[in-house]
Amino acid sequence: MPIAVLLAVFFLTPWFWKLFKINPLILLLLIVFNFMLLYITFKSPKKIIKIATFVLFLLLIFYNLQKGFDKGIWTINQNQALEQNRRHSFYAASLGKIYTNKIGLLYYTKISDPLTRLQKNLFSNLEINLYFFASHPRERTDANEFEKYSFLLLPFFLIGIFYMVKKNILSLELFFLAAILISAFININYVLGPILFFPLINTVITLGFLFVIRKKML
Amino acid sequence: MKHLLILITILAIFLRFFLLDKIPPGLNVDEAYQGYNAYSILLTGKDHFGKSWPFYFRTFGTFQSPLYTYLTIVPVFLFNLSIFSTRFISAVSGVLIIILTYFIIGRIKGKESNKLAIISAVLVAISPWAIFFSRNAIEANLALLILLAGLAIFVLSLDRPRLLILASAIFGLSTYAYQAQRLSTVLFISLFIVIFRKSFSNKKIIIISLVIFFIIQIPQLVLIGTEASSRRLDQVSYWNNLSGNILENTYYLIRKFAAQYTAYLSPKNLFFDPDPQKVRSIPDLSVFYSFMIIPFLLGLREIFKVIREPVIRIILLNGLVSLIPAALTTEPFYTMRILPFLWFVTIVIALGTYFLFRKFSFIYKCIFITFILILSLGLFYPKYFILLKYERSINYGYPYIELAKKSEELKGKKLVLDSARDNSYILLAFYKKNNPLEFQKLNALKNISNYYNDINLNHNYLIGNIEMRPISWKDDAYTEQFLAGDYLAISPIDEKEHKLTLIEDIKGLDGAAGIKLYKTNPEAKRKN
Repeated sequence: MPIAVLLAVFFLTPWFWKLFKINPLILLLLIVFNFMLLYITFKSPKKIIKIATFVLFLLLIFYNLQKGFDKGIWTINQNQALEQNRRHSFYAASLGKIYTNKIGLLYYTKISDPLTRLQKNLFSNLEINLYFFASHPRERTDANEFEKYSFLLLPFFLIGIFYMVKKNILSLELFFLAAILISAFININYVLGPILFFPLINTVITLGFLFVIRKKML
Repeated sequence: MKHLLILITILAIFLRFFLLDKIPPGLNVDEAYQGYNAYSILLTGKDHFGKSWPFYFRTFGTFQSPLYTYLTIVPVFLFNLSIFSTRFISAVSGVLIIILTYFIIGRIKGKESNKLAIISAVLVAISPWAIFFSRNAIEANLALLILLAGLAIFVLSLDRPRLLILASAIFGLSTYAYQAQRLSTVLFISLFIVIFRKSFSNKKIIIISLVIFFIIQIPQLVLIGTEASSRRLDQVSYWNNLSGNILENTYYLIRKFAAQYTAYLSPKNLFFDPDPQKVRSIPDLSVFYSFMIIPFLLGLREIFKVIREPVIRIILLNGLVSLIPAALTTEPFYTMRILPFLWFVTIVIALGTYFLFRKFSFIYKCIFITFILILSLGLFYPKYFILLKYERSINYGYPYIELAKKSEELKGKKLVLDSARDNSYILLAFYKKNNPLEFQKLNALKNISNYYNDINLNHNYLIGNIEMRPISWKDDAYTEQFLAGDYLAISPIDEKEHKLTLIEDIKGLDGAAGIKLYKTNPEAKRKN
C-alpha cells in the first residue's frame, strides 16, 4: 500500500515531471532514495539498508552542493555594498565605540551579511507555500518559482508532518534536519529546486494519506 | 515566581516605553487618526469631521474601530496631544498582555506550570512582534489584550461555568477594538461551546452567554450594510471580484484561502522575512528572532504531549481561528491581523524553551536565560532603535513634523501643500495641534448624516495657514505664497520653470527624499 501511494504522489506532482524533463538521472537517484526512505520509515530494516540509504543521501547532498552551491554567500554585489556602507554610518553615529571597535566592525563587515544570506537560503526552503503554491502570496522576485505539488496534497502533507512529529519517526526527522541545514548553502535560484526535500515531502504526504484512509496511527 | 514576574514586567515597561515618542520617528496616518480623533472628542465631543461620538471613526476612505480612540482620550487629557499619549494605550496593553500570559499559562495543570508561565511571559516581553506593536498606536494590540482577558475567563469558566457569561461579554467587547475580531470571536465562541460542552451541563448559561454577546453586537449590527461596517472588508478581500463559473470560483477560493492561511504558518515568514509593509515591520527582522525556530520546532513536538490539557486546547483553538479573518484577505502576511496567532506561536516557543531548559541545573538555567536575553536584545536594539529610526522615517511621516514646525515659523503666511497623492492632512493637524473646532468648521463633511456611508476622498483641507490641495501651476506660480510637496509634485523642472526659491529640503533621517518647501516668485514668473 505505501508503495502504491508513493507512486501516485510521484505521478501527481509537477516537480516529478520537471525533474524528469531536466535531469532524469538525478530523478532516478531520488526515486531510489525515496523507496529506501519509505522502507526504513515503515519497517525495521537491517543495518546495511540504513547505511545504504544514508550513503545515497550523502551522494545526493554532494550532487546538490556541486550543482546548486550559492557562490554569493561570501561576496556582495554593488547594491549590497552601498547598503552596507549606508547602514555602517547609522550604526557608527548611534553606537559610537560600542560599534566602531575591531570586533564590532569585523562582525558587521565579515560575519553579519554571510550569516543573513545563509539564513535566507535556509528559511527559503522552510516555506510550505514554496512547495504547494509556487510561493504565493509572497512570490520572490529573485528566485525561480514553480509549483512543486498540487495544493490538494497539502492536507495530507500537514497530517503527515503532525504524524511524523507525534510518532517521533527519528530517521525521517533527521533527514529533514540534514536537508534543512544543507539548504542554507544552496542557491534559491537552483533550477531543480530544493531537491533534497523531494523524497522527504513525498514520504510525509504518503504518511498523511495512509493515516487518513486507515483512520489510526500506523 | 512573583518576583520574577515583577522583573519581567519592568523589562517589558522599559522595552515598550523607552523613547516611545521618538521611535518610531513620527506617526503613520492610522496612528495620527487615533490621536487626533481622541483630541477632537475630548475638546468638542465630536470627531474631526464633526460627528458626535461615532461607533466607527471615519478616516481616509475607510473606518476605524472605536475603542482605541475612546480610550486614548484619557492619555491625551493627561499628557496633552503627542506621539507619546497616542501610543500610550497600546504600550500599556503590551505590558498587561505579559501579566495575562503568566496568568493563563499558569492555569495549566501540573507542578511545573509556573515555570512555563514565566518563560512564556519572558518570551512575550522580548519578542519583536510584541514590542513592535506595543510601540505603535494600533488597535489590534488593545484587541489582543481584551481577547486574552476573555481567554483567561474562558479558562476559568471550565471550573466555574457562570463565568462563561463574562467571557462572552469580554469577547463581545473586543470586536469594538479591531474589525478582524468580529469573525474570529464568533467562530471561537461557537467552537469553544461545542468542544467543551461537557463542562457546561446548564444550558441556560450557554444561552445567556450567547444573548449577552449578541446584545453587545447590536450597535454594530445596526450599521451592517453601511460602508463603515463593510468598507475595510471590501478593500482587502479577494472574494468580491470573481468572474469564472461556480466550479472555477470555488477552486480559486479554496486554493487562495489555503495559500493565505499557510503563509501565516510558514517558518520563513515567522522567523526570517518581515511583513512587506514598512510601517508594520522592523528592517531585517521578522516577528520572531530566527534562532527561535529551534525552540519552536521542539515546542511543536511538546504540544502533542499536553494537547489534552484544556488551557492548551483553548489557546490552540484561538490561535488557529484567529488566522481565518487574515486568510480571507488578500495581503500577504499581514502581521497586524494575526496578533492572537503570534501570541500562540510564542507559547509554542515557550514550550520548546522549557523542554530545553528543564534538564539544566539552576546555574545553567540562569546562564541560559541571560544568553537568550542578551542575544534577543542584541538583535533587536540595532534593528529597531537604529535601522528603523533611520530607514522608516519617511514611512512614519517624519518630514511632516518638520513641515509643521516650519509652518508655525511662517505663521500669517499662506502655505500650499500638494495633496495629489497622499492623505497626510491628519499628520499636519496632529503635529500642529490644530484646534478641532476650527478643523471641523473648515473641513466639514458635506452631509454629516451620511457619515457611515460617505467614502468620498477629499483632497482639499485647511489646517491653520496650510492649504492642502493639488498644486495648480497656472494660478499658484503667480501668487505670493509658499509651496510644498514631494519630489513628484514639484520636480526640478517645475522649480526652474516657475522661478521657485528653495526654502528648505526636508529629508528623512536617512537622507531619503521627503518634502521640499519653496517660495513663489510671481514677479519673476510674470517677466518670464
